[in-house]
Amino acid sequence: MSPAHDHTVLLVDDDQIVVDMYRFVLDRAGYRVVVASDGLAGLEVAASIRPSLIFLDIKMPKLDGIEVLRRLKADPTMRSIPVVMLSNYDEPAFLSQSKILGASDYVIKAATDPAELSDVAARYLGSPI
Amino acid sequence: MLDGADASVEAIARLLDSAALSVAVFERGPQVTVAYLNAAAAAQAAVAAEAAAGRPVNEVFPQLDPALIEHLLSDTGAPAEPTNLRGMLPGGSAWSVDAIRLGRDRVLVLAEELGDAVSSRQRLEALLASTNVIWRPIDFGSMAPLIVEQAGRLLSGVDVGLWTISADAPAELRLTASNSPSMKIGFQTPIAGTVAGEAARSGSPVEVTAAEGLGAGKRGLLDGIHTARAVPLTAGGRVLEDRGYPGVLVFAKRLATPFTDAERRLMDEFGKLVALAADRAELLADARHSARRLELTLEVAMALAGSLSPREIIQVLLSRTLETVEADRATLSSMDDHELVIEATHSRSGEVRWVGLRYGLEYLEHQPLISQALRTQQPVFGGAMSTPDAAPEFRAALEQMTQTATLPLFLSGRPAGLLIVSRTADRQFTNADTTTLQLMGNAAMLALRNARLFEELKKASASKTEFLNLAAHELRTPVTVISGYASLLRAGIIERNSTESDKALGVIEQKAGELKKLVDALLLAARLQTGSPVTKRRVLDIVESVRLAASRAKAFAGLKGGTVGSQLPDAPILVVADGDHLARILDNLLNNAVAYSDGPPQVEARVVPAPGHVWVEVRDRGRGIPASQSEFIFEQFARVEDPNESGTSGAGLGLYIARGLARNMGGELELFSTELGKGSIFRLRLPVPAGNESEGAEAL
Repeated sequence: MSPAHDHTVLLVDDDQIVVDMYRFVLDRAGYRVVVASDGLAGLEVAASIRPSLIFLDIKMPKLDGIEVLRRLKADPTMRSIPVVMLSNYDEPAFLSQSKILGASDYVIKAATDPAELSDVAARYLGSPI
Repeated sequence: MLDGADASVEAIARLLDSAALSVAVFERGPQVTVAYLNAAAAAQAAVAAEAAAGRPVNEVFPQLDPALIEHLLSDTGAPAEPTNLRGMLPGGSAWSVDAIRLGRDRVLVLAEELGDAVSSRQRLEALLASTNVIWRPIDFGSMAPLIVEQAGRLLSGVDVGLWTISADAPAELRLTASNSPSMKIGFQTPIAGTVAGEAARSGSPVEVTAAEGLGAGKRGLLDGIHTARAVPLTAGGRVLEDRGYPGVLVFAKRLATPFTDAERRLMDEFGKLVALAADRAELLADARHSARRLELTLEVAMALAGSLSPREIIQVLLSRTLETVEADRATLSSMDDHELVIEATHSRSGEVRWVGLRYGLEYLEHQPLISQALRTQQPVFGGAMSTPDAAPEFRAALEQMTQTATLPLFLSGRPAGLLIVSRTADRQFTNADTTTLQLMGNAAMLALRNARLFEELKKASASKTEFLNLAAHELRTPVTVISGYASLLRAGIIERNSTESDKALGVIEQKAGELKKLVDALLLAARLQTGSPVTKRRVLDIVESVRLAASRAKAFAGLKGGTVGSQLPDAPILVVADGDHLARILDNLLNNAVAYSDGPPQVEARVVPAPGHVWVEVRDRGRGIPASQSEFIFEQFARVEDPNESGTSGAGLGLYIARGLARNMGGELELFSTELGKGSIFRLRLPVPAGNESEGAEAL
């Protein structure tokens, strides 16, 4: 496995502006960033590129992030990919459900400095630089 | 006859006569002869009073011991003071005899046939003693055997039977107690044609003798009886009909002697005392029953009030109803101005069916018992229900019912429901039953309303929490971007004065604008929820407003390669509206029409005048709205569930706010028509200025 492949991050979010902002941060930190703009696309891309880490929004068209998480963790080929939920929902129900389904972390977007996203990625993948 | 000198004696005799005693004057001559007999004494001797005068006493009264007569007239035997001679009478006699000497050769004899009692005073004492015994039990059932026992004690040699008429069989007399083995307890006979029946009907004692044709039409009751007297148990004029224990005491004599007046008096007085005792027992039983029912009602009311679950309340009411009045089925319906909702039905076997059937109030026309109950606001007692209009699954069960009571239930004085109880047994429900059930039922209606209000409140509270959660989420979305870029700029991660920083500032500005709009919308939504937003109504030209809104939306439609057209009259059409609110509504309708189009949007706005108001129609050729969502779209944070939806942003407040504003201006906003895959038409109605009602119509 090449190091580049090791540092591929999949960002699944339907808000283009948010995606641009996070991609800027992760790009700059040296990760290879792939984007999907709805839940279904997220699953397809994950299956085809097998990223090392997935940042997953919850409220999305076609398939919401909780369902995407459930399917990822039900798929033996993708189960081991760490998934960090990325949402503005802070209801305990979402947090606990994500945890039960096997999410590695839960980041509340508005409460998190975007620069921290690269630190979160480093926690799971190590720094690419 | 007595001579003139004895006029005073005759006067006394007459006085005594009126006291219903047998009175005789015996006179000593060569023989002891009868000098005077009053009517009662003559009746006892079965002779005419006049014919007896002068005849020997032992001829007229062969049953009297000659030795006794001699004794009465002897110097020592006939006392100057009245003396009771009962102890000297032949054994077993039921006579009480008092004697008093009148001069040397005459003796006045007072005789009274009283059974075991020997004098009026003693008779009264005996009556009181019997009454004390009868008075003890507090229910008529336990009292019945005591009544005949005491009657037999007061009147020896008389058969006594207590006949009653029950509510179950109002045309029958039933022998409830008797002191004679020949009168079988439980024996039943129709009232008509019987002595007891006649007494019960008339409320007065009825007496018949064999000589008067005792047997004719008096089936069964009086076989082998010489004389019978039926005494109704009435304290006043009335047999105790409403108490459910109308009764008649029948005294029957096998001997060929008629009842004496004293015996009759005794029987009648005894009857009155028994009636009073029975009345008292019934009142006590009623009071105990009422107390028990009240206790039960309170207990049920407490159980109902303690519950906040409508289902539990209905179940408690129905099961307690069945227990309380021993019904086989109980059904609760609730109602408002528009419909009757059959909530649930509970059968004696314990089965509860949650029906939930709704009927328009016209259904009641087919249920005369129900409509009568609602019209009169009184319980209606009836036989079988009309089943052809009932729900098919209940017909079989309802057809078995022979007795029903339909009880209207009230809440704050208004009809709020119906409790229908029914029985398979042919036993009517009583007023006491319905009183208890109505108390319980009304308590249940109150509890049910409270429980339903509580459920609504819970729902409202949950929706408020949901509003806050959704609002927070919607607010955080632009905040994420604004604070995120600001932080990246400040940390120097985005270099200042670079292309990146210009882009970041642009995004920050854009998101700040969205945030402001969102905050305004949230505030407006909150104000519409709690009260009314500030509205400045004025007269304005709707044609111009629609033209401007259409041109604002054209830019957005253009981005998606579509158009916004308008069909507008040339002349202005005036409406009364708040210009800002109107613009917000029109923008929302037009932007939605563009946003929810697949492919290039084709949106059209029209102004359609009508009498008294003006319609603005916005038509799109977009996706259409599923029928199930046609009202939901006007709710807060409502977004039509569409699996293919992508990229349509918004908090789902637009139509909620637009409709709220339209109503606030005296107008209305509705989804006029929609078809999946073909598009929708939204209509905004606005009022025209007073006096301009016809202007719009002319402009058509």
